[in-house]
Amino acid sequence: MNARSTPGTPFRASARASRPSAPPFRPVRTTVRPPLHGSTPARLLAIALALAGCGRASAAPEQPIAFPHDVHAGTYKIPCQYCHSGVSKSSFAGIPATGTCMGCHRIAGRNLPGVKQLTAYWERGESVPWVRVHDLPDFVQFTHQPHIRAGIDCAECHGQVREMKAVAKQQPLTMGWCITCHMAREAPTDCLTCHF
Amino acid sequence: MERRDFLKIAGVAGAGGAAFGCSPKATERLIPYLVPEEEIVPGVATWFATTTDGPEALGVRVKVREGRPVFLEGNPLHPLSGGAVSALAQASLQQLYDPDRIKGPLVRSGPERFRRTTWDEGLRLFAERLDSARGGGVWFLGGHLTGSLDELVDRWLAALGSGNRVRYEPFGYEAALAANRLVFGREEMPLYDIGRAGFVISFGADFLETWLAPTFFARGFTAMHAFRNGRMGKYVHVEPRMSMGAANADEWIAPRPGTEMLVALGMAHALAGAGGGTAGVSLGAYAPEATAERTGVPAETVRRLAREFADRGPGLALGGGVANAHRNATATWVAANVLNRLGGAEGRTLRFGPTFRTPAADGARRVAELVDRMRAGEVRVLVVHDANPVFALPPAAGFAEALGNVPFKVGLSTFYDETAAHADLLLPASHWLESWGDAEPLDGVRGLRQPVLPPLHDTRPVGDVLLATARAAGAADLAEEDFGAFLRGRWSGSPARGPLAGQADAGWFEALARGGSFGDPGALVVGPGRSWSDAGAGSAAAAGGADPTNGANAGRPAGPGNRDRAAASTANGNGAGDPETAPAAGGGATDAGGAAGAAVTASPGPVRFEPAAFDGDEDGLHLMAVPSIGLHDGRGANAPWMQELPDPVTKAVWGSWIEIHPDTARRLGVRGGDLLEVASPHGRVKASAFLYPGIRPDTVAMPIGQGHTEYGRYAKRRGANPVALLPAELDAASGGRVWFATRVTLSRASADDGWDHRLIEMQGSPHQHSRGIALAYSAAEAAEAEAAPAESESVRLLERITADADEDSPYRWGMTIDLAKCVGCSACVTACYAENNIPAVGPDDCVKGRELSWLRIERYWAEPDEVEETGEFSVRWLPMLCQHCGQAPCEPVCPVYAAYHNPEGLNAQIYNRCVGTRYCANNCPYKVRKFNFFDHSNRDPVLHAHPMPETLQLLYNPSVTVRSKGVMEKCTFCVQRIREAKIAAKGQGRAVRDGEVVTACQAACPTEAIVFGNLREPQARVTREAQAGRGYSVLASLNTRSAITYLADVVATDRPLRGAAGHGERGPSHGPMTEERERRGGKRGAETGAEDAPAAPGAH
Repeated sequence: MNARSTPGTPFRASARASRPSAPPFRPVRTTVRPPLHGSTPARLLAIALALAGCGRASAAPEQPIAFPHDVHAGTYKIPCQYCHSGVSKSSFAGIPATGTCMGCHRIAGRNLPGVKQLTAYWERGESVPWVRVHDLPDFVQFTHQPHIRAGIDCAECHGQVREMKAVAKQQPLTMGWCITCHMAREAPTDCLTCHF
Repeated sequence: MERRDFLKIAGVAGAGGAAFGCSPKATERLIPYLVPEEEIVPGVATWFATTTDGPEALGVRVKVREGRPVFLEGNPLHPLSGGAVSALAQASLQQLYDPDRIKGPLVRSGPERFRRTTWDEGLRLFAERLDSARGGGVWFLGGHLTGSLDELVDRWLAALGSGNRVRYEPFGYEAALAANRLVFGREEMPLYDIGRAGFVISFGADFLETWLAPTFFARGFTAMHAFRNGRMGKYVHVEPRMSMGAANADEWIAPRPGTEMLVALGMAHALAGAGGGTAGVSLGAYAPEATAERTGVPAETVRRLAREFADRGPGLALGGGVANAHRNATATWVAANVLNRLGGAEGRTLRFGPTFRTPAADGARRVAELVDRMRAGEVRVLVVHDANPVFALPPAAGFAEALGNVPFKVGLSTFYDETAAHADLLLPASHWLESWGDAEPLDGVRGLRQPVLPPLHDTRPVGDVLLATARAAGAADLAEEDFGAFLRGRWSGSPARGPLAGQADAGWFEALARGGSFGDPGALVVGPGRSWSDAGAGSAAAAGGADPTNGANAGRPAGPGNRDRAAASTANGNGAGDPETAPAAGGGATDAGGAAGAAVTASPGPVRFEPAAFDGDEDGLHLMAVPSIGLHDGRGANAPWMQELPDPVTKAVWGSWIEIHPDTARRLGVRGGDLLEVASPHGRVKASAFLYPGIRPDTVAMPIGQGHTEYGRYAKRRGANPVALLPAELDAASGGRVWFATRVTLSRASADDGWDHRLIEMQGSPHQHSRGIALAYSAAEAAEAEAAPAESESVRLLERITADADEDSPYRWGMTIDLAKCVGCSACVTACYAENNIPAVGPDDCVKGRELSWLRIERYWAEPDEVEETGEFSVRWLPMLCQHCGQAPCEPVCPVYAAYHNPEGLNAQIYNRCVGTRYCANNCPYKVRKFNFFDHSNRDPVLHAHPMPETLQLLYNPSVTVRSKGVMEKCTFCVQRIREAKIAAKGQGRAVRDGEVVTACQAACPTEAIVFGNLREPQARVTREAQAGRGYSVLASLNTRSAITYLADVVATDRPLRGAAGHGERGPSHGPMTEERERRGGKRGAETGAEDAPAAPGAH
């Protein structure tokens, strides 16, 4: 299998773990349950979900600017969609353009350290390279728009962002978690809803 | 534990471990816009109307996601595109992201070496050289331009005191223009209204492939030829080889090479009688009986065709295209025009209302003149834009050598092609998607081009470069800041010309939003009501002595000795170097707007109605150089999509070949795939043999477009350029290039030159083996079938298919494909690649049958015994894609439920579940499931032998998952488009309406052969079409309950077709199948080809 590797290039064991920055592949701990009897998709789903038990809530990553959602959405009660304006019309909620931030921060809070950082980005003509918190696998075609239209509150998936100093993932965002809610609300559970 | 259970668990564990693995992902960054864009919502596509470049200049709508163009759809307002887009136009997206584009200005620093420079430096150098060469020393060689850039080039040259402009397209229309002048008195291309004709006869014009406006003509062809209410037109193609167009014809007639004009005149004779004649052509000597021996076409056939031309009317005759441009091509066109006039086509199906803006009629002559001037050292600065003469001209023309005499050559090229390799300064032009512009392919149809993204590289639009240098040269009248301003000024500024003259901003923005100004669309449908015969007579008289035949020639064909002398005089050096043939070309460049410049009409040679002369070995085979639908004249060769798009006729990819009749091959001891050396008096090339029953035994054919020595990684050192075998000669009567003029000899060759000469075929068996896969009816049978739809198989089938979805689902998605409309143009295939992120796998994987195309056009030849019985060879197309079966054989064999049936009847493939057992592909009788043997998007060169360049990955459609190694994939019926429509409909509290979901293949199809929709909606177009009496399912005997209903092809013939071998009523004939397999040496594995389909219903 390694016939194609060139001399001097370290051999990597897994095709899937071959992003340049990814650590070497570690075998995944399996908890194979007793053999299945019957073979409904739901049971197989259950296995897949059991195996996927690593999508839990995580710590907040460090952002280039320590953006406090609690001040913006909490103290000042700015509605989520003021900044994440794509959420009702697109698959992505969208991160506000730096110019949108500067709309207020040309004046508001000019002396705060975070705003100074922001202004520096703006003046250099750079976008702020925010770190993605809610990241789904590339084979999931999630779209926000129908969820918003169905009246789902942002907090149901993203937690009480208006109380967070730094945003952290609150929900596992695993398929089982999605499906549980979809089943409860009689939303579609067809695979093709999200995977294509 | 049972084996099946084990596989399930092992499979799921594998998939789960890898896909849901706990290894942390690399940090992903979210980069927002710096300044909020009002019109852009990330995740929502923005559409822009613009116009493609190239000779066809289609109006398109560009789908842009997050600033990146990802898909082209036709602009329905544009009369020539009509909402469709060709494969080559779609592939220009790939050329935008091509990794081999020139990425910034380059200046020569030594032999075969360039140094990167800045634009300021490059423009300064260019301006300096222009200044020193001011006047006649500056030459501009460019492709076919219309509109503002065309005008700018002329004014730019004028500002430099030069009139030395050469407009050149390899595929010219000189013969047709000359013949139109001689017969109709107008050196223009009229509107050939195929859609209104009842009978079309083409003497070689490939109007469905590359000739003039194929997308437009394909639509017209459908209007003419599709079976509707029991009626259809008839199309007859006369050419020594069955091209893609000929394969769509109801009748293919293969005359002796170079004799079509006699067939046409024979038809005219049959119509008008011996005393008949027009435009100076007297028909007396051309009775079908008198010419039958020379043409090889029986007199009764010619007489029958003439009758049909008159009776089925209105008729339309077309002359030859590139493949048929022999030494007497003008005579073919004159003869076709005579037939048009006598048969009443003039003013009805052939109208000089709005005319096509073709490449210049003196293009080829002017290039020859340029070569002479270069040799003489008179060219000081040569600017080349959108032309690749070093590749496209025969080496004997001496263009490359003559370039050595030019002290300074500037390339305004997007790619480093063969001509750019000779340049001293390369100022790379931006892609058309990055540029302003306009194009007027047909009078009054003005398409606007707007940049839909900023230049990806350090390139500039050609117009900007010209304006900058004109400023440096002190041109007062070219003061516009950039070409965008020039364009706008020309559109809204000048009252005389601008279509928007006098209108304020609103008009300009509306034109941009619509994609241009298309005049009165009615003009294209209804003739302008002028009496063209009057106009024609007047101008013909004015043209003075332009009598196409001097009486002696008309009556008595010149003897062979005479003919040889004529050939010899032109064969010596290139025709245009000869002062006899191109006396006035030097002084008289035609003016920008004028179509009928007087200079080019000055001295047409005589038109002789006699078989064209061929040079080369008397016993050799006549060589046709055939334009390629994907590569065109070679410009598509560096787009992987075009390389991997199977040629409609041979279904070969990533290379070139030589088509040989099986009888000839047997005589020469050649087998399919053998590498041969093809030698003509003018050169020799290597090509693999493709045995093709659709070509005359005395003729061979090679595709144009391969054999690049430069141009990019995908094009280089692949196949052969047949141009190397051709004489550097012009048709004496028109000044057009001669493409079909030489005989070649074949000998065995070895592949020792390091070039890729493989013949890589993507079609499985060429025959249907009586399985009734691609069906055809005669018109009478079709009428009978349509008359009784209530009892038809299709209605019964439809009921069952419609049931194959959840009971409470409002949808059961389905499709119909009308084979009577499908012309095999493959626009759908490329559109599918673009929409669904299908990678081109490259030649090595294609050999192994690992291509990933979700949609292919199968091509079936008539069974050998059928050909023997009827004497007619025929070709059927069948677009094959996932059938979304109600009882899909792939579903029950999947151990992990990656393949399953969704509630709306779609056969789904879930990539993240798939573990790659490939059981589904093995069990699919349609062979439409494709397996990813490699990860084409991963850039790791160690584990992934097929990395896709990063720039090409910018083309990915973000709405579709990019599949990775080890998963199966297939057509999804564009489920992303379905979901988008459903979300939109749900927002309005309604169901998806008919026509709201258009699949990518359907969007691209110029003939509307593909219809998609909800079969549970009784009034939906798809449901109505599926009930047609011609409807059938492929391999229905397997009871797969396919959701795709094919409507059988209809052929305008009296011969019954229902009993033909393709219909499966003769019982299996395995003889030829075995023979076929042997001949092909088992080159293709069991991956593709219906011949390997497991035909065992109930096996699962």
